[in-house]
Amino acid sequence: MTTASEPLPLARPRRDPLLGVAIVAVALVYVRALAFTPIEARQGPAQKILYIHASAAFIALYVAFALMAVCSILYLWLKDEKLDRVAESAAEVGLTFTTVVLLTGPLWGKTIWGAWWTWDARLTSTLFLWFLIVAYSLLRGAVEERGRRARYSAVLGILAALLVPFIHLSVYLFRTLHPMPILLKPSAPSMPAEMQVTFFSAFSAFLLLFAALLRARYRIATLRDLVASREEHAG
Amino acid sequence: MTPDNAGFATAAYTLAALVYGAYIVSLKVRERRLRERLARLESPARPASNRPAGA
Amino acid sequence: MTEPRVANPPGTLAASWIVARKDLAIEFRTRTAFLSALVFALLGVTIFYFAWDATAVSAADLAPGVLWVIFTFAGLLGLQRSFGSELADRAIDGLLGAPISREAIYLGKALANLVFVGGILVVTIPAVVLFYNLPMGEGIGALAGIAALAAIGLVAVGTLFSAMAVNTRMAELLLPMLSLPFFVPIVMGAAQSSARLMAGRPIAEAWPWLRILVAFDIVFVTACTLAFPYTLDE
Repeated sequence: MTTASEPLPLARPRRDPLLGVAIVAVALVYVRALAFTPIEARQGPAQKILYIHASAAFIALYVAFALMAVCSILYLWLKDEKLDRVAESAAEVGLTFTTVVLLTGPLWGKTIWGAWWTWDARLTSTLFLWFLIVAYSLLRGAVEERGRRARYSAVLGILAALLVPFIHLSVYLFRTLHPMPILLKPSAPSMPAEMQVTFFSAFSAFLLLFAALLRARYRIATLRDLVASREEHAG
Repeated sequence: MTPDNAGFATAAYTLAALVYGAYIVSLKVRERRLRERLARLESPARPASNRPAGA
Repeated sequence: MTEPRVANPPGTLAASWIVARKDLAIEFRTRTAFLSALVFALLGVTIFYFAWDATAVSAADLAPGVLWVIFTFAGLLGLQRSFGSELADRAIDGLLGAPISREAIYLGKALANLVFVGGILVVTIPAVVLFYNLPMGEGIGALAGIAALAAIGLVAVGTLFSAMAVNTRMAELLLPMLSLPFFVPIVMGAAQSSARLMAGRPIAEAWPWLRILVAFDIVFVTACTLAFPYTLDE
């Protein structure tokens, strides 16, 4: 079970340079994407949504959610509270990124498909990811005892990771058998060099932002658990 | 020839900035509140608190 | 004081069957939960019927969707009561003290839920066929098979989440929130394959969906059985 004594984080606030750097990086990417990247001829300026949409989508699924799943498995194996805090933080930050995907996706989709929502395979999978992380957060909110909360969350995290391939498969199968409106295929595989640079810069900047937000959220989790232990002792 | 949809791009970039920005602000506010509670708990003349745990 | 020892503790499968029989015995004594879920399912099918514009959508197009959506929500009703009886006075400690594996408790509960959900399907499927005047006949066997696969998946995931949700403050809301994302591949597989069967299409067209159902069942029965011990406080 969990112990009441933990290494004390400093009670006085610390400046976190990582977040500042990440914000500057994202701002620079914004400038580069909007002002210094050529406009794609067929899709128009809206194609630039790709740079923030695709970065957020990749990070939400393959970084945030993957981290959540891995920490869940490790927690059930090693029972280290820190793993539970990382999973919790990855989930919440991942939810933010997932929300960005779901907001930017339809805006882009409207310009290329002519419809705000078309049950596109990736967008639908992202919607499910959103539901799963919300369920994960609700579960955590509903369980008060720390050890049980961590165990339940870990179980859900692992099952959710197992579900994702089934959602992908089902939606893919659903789509191939149901014709969907596709007017233009988004972003052809070969992008001109300038766009590629923007693409990878955007990805790196948002990855940096994810790391910074994760660390900040982890700090909050640690502080919260510390306050809870102290309040239990105070009575 | 090239479609005129810059408005969509602006909307998307603005929304993303708002979502990330709001989250950053929420993180800062929650951290500040927790540190205040911790400081109150650690100060010598603290009253017994019945506040429920959790952020 | 020495504790009485069981001479030969039952193996996992036998123990599961004992746990299932216990739950089913409790259920059949009162029958209220089963009858409530059954009436709910039939009412749901009726309401869907009256919400249907027969000139816009054909019966064969609508009926599979109705069937499997109702199945999901009636199933949730049944799952809600799954661990409820163990909550009062920590009755679950009696189960945990018995010389049976934790996995057997899960499998037994899941089996009882399977009988419960199966019972609902046995009444609901004929009701849907009747209300929508569906041409059945040879397809009924395949439909029963699909129903069995769907029920296994639903019960596997739902029993595990029921064990967790029952220990929380908002169990009735939490169980659907946790389970429904997992039910989606089940509903898709069941609805798409049964729609094709009801439309008289060759079974080869339903095959990809059936494969998803089978794979889902294998993966989640295994995963939930392995995960169940972690939901227990001991």
